[in-house]
Amino acid sequence: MKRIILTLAIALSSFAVFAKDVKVSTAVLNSFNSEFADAKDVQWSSGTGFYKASFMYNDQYVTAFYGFDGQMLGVARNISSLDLPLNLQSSLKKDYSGRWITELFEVSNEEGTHYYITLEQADSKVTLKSSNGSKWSVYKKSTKA
Amino acid sequence: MKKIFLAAAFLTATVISAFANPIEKSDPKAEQVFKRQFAGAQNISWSKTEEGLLKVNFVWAGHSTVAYFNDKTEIVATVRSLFYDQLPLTIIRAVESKYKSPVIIEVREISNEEGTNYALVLEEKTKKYRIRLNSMGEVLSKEKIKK
Repeated sequence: MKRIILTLAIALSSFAVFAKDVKVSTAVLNSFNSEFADAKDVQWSSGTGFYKASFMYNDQYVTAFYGFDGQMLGVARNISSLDLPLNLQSSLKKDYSGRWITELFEVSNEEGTHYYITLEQADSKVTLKSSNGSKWSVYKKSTKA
Repeated sequence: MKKIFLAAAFLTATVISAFANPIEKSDPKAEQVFKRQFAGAQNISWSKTEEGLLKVNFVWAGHSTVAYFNDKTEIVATVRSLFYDQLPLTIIRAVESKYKSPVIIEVREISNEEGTNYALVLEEKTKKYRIRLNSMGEVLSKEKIKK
């Protein structure tokens, strides 16, 4: 259930309305500060069942998601396709050349590293997922109107 | 045998280049595969490893990279240098949870069809380590090295 919440939250991050200027629980703040003590420009918001912290970490813009109990659900960031492991870059070139990338982000959680990439062509789009270096699998497919 | 070689390559990524013999002409098919995968690569040099794999050293997207081809001209493994902040967050978090204020000297990504591992050389206070982690941030090996 938490994984679904996290993936949806990240996917909708650009479009969803999150409540801002929220009062963040002590458990969540302690959990965040213990891991991201050097975080800068931290902004908190909340969604259904989670808090979201957007901040600068190691000079990168990162988003962390926490359950209300303080447990970190995951950390996400947008990346360049050149930051993907080379085997994943190679298989994209081989199987999805001719499509353009409209979204690519990396999620880190207790299960490891996951990449989600959305590739589009004229009449369709597909979102692929790779977990812990595994081959790409289709996460979502749709046709364009 | 080749899998053993590749496993050894993961452990000693920097040493492997010492055991390859430069060649003047590589396999044209391998060159074609290489150009398709790594368009824009620079400083390309081909060699053959003692185990018979075709090896190419090059610079791609600003990073020194090595690719290994089998006798079917398939890329079977790659090793590339990275900047620390290019590592997956899982790896960065794993390193920073285990080492206090580490100074990162070297970062390499080792990738093949079975997945991706990461090899780092770092210093913590007076000690220097070479560590390997898998994609989940689990430490596979740790070795203290001379500073």
